[in-house]
Amino acid sequence: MTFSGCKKSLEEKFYNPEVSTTASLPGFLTDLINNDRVRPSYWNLRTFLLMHSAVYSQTTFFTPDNAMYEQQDGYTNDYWRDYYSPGVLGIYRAMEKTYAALPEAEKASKQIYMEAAKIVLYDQTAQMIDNFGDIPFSEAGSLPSSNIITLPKFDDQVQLYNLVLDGLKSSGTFFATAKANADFTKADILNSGSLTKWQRYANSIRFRLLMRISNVNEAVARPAVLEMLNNSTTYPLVDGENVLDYNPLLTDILLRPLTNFADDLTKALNELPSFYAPDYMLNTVMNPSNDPRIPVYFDKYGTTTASTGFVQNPTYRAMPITFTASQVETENTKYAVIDSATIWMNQYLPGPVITASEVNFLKAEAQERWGSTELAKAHYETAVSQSVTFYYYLNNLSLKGNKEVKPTPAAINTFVTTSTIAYTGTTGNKLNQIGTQKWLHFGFLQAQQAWAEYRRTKIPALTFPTGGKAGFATPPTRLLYPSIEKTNNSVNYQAVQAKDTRTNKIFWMP
Amino acid sequence: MKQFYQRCFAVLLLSLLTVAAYAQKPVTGTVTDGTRNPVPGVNVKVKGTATGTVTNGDGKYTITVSEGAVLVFSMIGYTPKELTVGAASTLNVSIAENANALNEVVVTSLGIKKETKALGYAVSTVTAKEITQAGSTNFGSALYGKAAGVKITTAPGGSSSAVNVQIRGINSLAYNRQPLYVVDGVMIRNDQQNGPGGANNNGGLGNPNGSGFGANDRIKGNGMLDINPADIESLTILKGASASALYGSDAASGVIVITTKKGSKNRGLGIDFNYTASIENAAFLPEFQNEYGPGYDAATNLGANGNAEGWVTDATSPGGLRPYFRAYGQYGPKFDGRDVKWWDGSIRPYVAQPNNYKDIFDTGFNSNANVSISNQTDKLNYRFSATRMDYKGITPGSKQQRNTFGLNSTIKMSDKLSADIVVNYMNTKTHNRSGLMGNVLNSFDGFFSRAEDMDLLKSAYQNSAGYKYSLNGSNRPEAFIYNIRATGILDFFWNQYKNSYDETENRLLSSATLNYNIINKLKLRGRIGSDVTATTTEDKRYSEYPLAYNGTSSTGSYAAIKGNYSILYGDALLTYTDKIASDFDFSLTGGFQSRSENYKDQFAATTNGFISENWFTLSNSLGTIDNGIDPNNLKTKRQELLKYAYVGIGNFSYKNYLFLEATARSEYSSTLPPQNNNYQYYSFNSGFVFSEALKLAEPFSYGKLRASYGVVGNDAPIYESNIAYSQSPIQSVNGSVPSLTLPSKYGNLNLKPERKYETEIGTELRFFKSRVGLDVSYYTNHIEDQILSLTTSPSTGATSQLVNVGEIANKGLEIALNGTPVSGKDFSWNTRLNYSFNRSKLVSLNGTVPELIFYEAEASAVRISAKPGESLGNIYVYPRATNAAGQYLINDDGFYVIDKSRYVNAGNILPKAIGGLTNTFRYKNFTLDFTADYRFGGQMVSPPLKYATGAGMYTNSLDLRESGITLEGVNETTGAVNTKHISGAEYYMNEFDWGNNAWNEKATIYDNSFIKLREAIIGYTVSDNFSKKLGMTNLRVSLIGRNLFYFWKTIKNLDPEAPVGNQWYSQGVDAGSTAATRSFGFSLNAKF
Repeated sequence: MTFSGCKKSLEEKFYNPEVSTTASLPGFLTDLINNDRVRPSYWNLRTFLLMHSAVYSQTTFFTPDNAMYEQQDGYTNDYWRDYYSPGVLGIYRAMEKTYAALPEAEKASKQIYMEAAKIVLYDQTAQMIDNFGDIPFSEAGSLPSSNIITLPKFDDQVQLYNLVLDGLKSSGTFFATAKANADFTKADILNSGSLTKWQRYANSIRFRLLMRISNVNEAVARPAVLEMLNNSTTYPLVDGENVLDYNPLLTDILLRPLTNFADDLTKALNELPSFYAPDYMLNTVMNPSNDPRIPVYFDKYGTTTASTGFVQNPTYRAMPITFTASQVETENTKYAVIDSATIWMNQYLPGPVITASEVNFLKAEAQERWGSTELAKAHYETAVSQSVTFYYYLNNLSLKGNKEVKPTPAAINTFVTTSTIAYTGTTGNKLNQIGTQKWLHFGFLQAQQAWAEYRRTKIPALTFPTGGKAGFATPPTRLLYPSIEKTNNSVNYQAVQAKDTRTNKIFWMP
Repeated sequence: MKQFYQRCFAVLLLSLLTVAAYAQKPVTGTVTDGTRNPVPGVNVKVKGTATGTVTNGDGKYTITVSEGAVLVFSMIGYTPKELTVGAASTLNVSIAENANALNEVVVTSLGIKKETKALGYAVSTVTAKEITQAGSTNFGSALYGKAAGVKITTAPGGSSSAVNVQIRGINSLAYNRQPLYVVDGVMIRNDQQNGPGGANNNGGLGNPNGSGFGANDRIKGNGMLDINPADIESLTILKGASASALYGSDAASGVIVITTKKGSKNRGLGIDFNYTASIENAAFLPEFQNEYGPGYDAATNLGANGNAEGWVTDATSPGGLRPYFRAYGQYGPKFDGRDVKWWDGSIRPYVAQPNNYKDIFDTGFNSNANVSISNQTDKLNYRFSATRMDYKGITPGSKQQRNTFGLNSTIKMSDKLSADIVVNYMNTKTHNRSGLMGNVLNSFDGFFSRAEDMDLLKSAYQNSAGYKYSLNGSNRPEAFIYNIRATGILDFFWNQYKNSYDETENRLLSSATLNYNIINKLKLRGRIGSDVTATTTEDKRYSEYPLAYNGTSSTGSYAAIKGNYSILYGDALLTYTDKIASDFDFSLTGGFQSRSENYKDQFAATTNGFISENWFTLSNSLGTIDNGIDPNNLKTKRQELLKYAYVGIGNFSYKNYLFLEATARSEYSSTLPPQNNNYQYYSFNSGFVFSEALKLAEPFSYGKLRASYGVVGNDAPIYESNIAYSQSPIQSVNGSVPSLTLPSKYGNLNLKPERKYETEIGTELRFFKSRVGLDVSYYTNHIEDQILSLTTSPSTGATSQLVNVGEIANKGLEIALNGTPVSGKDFSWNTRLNYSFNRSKLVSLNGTVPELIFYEAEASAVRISAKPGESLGNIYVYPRATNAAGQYLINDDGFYVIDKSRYVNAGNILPKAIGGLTNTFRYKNFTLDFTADYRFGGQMVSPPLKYATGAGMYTNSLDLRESGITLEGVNETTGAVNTKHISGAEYYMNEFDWGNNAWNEKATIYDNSFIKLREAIIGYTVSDNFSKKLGMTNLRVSLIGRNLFYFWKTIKNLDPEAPVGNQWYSQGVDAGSTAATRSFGFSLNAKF
């Protein structure tokens, strides 16, 4: 036997034939955008949003239970991993390394990948801070950066927020003059190469975050926001061009499902269960105003018996939050559920990254606090109308269930201006209307934003039943660090351990 | 082989030279064994000459000798016997079986046969009888307690479940945790196709928090299960590094060398028949309480249903109350027999169902029939064997069948050239193999109450139309009228009774060995062998409800999974044997060994359910077919490995009592980065039979000292050290776009192989004509450059990296004692006791991390971790908080405050000592064999026991129910003595709750020592006179029992052998297993 080829064969067999050793910026960018924490995916909803932020903001129904406000450590581990390892952060570090290794002459043409990736990274990073406070960032991602393990420190949340705000500003400026290319357009599965959308995305997230810090750091937030609002050509926003009957697909930042996705949220919503209508949302906010979104948010539901078959409930009602578990068990069929066509059987349901309605609510709040209440009213009414448009848009994407016919502009206008949600009363009342309607617009699909804004503004005025388990009577004000980070980065964790309680505040909370 | 030839030549030469110096006469006789069965194939030699013969099929021999000559009767597995020829011409002999016989030949590394006497290291041999007599379905579980330093663990679940073997403690923290199996000289596949994750491991390094919840948690088998016990001739366990050094990087965890049965030892046709049948039942079950039904503590009950006792007001129930079916706790109303409305709408009495857990399980059975035909002619010696096994486990719906065919032949082509051809074919079908019951036992959604009738649950998993059960609120037909808790058990029945998971495995093991005697002193041996497996699995899951109830997706699924695994092995050895002087023999061997391994898996499954109900085909997929290429869950994959090595061996002996051996191996492996892929191993060992050198007299029968030093190692798992990106095509709004992602388990291009350095000394002593024997070994080793997928914080950009993390060390003592206290014509008693202890510690870490965390549970409250200098296997927990005076802090609710700022050592999962006791008694034609094995010291971590205790399932939660308790300690804020009285329900539900606020030190950690009666066999040998009338010889009938009972065990409500998994710490962690078993049966052996 001759084995002369053995040594060569050894090296050939070292690498897995299924993987590639060639880095590619477009490939990384696609992977970084393709994020099931942004889309309404089963795992993110079922294990994270619907068990945490959606409960803490009452944007979902939940069954009363001793431990209903207790954080799920295992699921938080997953969420944390999905940001870092590799996640948006890990992939971004690999992109930085790839970019740095490029010949200088090529860098200018490839910067567009880095800037787009940075916007997505900073958007997600801000959400991490909103959940946890200080997080590892500047030293994080050593493996994709350098192939070695360096345990990162936890960066200060205030400084990190500033870094994010500055970065979004410069990326927004970059996209104002950037040139697209065919490879970028193909790899950009979020905006399909639309540079103005990237610019608006960066500006709008910055706007959202400036408002987030405005209660504790008004001195920074106010001038920066007013500069943006007063220079709309320099700082275009995701505002649907302020058109009430706008097309969300064209102007909102929506991460759409993959085209071969053939699932829906049935399991995510019925396992806990979460598909019943939330009390405050339907009974207190929507029913009194006869909200035209009710038919696309909810189904009336009904009872099935052998003799009568399915009998639909006469009206939309939600179970009171004071119901006991056994009342829920016996009474549930008499109450409304989340709409099947719009939400839970809609395979085309996109992940809302930021929408025109939210931006206009933010404008309304800024104007009400720092500018003109007339402009605030206009923005508020635009925002509510755009929310109606948005939810009917979602409803019409669906292949399942009844497609609702959108009310006429006149009917929507009547609702916006004359119902119980009309923009009237004191500044406090008005801010309350803005906050409540924004919370309603977020729903559980954007429960992270709903919970953050609720913590910032305490709007709407929710009451929470007391949890029976010792230490878990009320919802937390932040999430605890997941055990996977505490355990494996214990040296750096010690520096933030004192802040790691469920009642500690995120820095932007008043 | 070499020894074999040396002997043959000696016989040839000496027989030519022998001169008849004395008057010779023919002597005949029969050689029998301890059970008075004739023993064929015994060597009968005239001492001091080369004259000899072999007993025939009836144990008879005839030899021509002179009076006064000494005849030596010897055979592998028996203590040799010497008798002086007297006047009589008939000399019947009884020889005693002995697994530790001294002059036996054992098969060592590379299939080289050696006399035990010449070895400088410890080996354990186990005989064919010991492997088969108790009717084990595999040879592994027959090894319990039979070899010092060898720890066997059989996963529950019966014949389809993996058997793990751990030799001499912990040899690798992460990889290659099982010994290398070598069958007829060829390395075979055990579970390499599963890669570094191994089989049956939930969580573990890289995911220490993983619980396996929701995973496909069927208990997998391993490759060694395929080796038919009835075909094994001998089994040798090479324990130390010196013994196994020639196998290099595969041998760090020891080597098990198996030789299958060869053709008959004498001429003529022989037919053997063996049959074993046994039944199997769930055994060693928890002690359930049967006084209280579902419900929680009073406050929770009130909050949930407005009734402190735990009833739910319901006008449709007789008496207006019904049980709280959704509760997982068992602190509700006492069973009083009243009629209540059940969740299926029926009216049932409210009574306990004491056997509802036991009733989950079936009665299993095992039937095993083996026929073998053997023959010998001038040119050909063969044995053909066929075996059929039918097995039904206790797990509902699971069964297995296996057919095994084996051919073992030797062809003598010329005086110089012979060939051994061995072919084994196994065909195994497994239906719905047993699964872990973590979703039932380790999950609050699995707990069924003491009031649930298992017959109802066994019928309720599907509705009258054959669809899966529907929960309350689903608005589907026949939905349960109330919410229930125990959906986990219903899912279990749905999976086991309705769905089918069918595995078919075809495996061919073959080897061809050519022995070429080039010239007198120079021999060449070449061998090629292969182990080829083809598996197909069909996973059929039925539609769970009618299509009309579908959302976007549907239910039901079909998956087709294929695996093709092959190992191609080859070696060539050239040996030169000579003498330097009359007392000084030596041999030199040079050789080459190579192996390529190839594992291909292919997966295809429907996604999002079926378009048409219950049509099991890929084309019925609602979504795009999942072809297993998702980089995060790769199921379609290829793995290839190439290893080769040059080996050299030198053997030297002086006067046949002093032996020295040196070996060297230079190995190349494709799994390591190219700059590190060549590395060397070597070993030295020496045996000194001082009883011969010093001519020691009785009571000293034999004495030997051994010393050895060796280096073995461990390369990396296939592809794990790669640093590369996975590409997947994603179907986006921009069309199909490549998405390039990073591995969450990071590779390392500077990885080096692990090296184990081991020193071993030992002695073998025999006294009183070898009636008492002692074998002692002491070893100490250290293993450098431990390769570990080091868990790191996700914020480093990956969850783990493959690194050379540091060094571990073991030391241990193995003692085997055997004796024949009674040896009479009618009655004899043989006994063997073995004992071993091993200590493993983490010596150093490379500095990346301060400590290694192998397992973590309960939101970090319980972990198995080690810092440099600490013993491996230490369990750490959050303690109860105390004040400066050492008093326990109690919170306002009356519970212990847990100190989450530090850990305390709460034990160690590794045993202090393990071993076994085997006894064989013979009285006339009856024999009684029993084997007990033991484990002393160490603890087990069991979160499921905590949850079930907290839920009030067991009798251990009854004590405080009436009285409640006030915990001793002081209030954490006021410092005053705690006076807050809590009910029993509150105490158990909080202190034994999931998570890190519970008193985990008490609730999850349990002492784990036991002595178990593993096997008992009562055998009767039918007298030859009678059996010959039936046309048989050697007819033997036995009653057998396995896993009969524990003489003693410290852990309640859990079988000490419940855990599964083959990581070194797996056996110390219970993740929610299935029930253990006890079996009884009979066996029948006959020759025709």
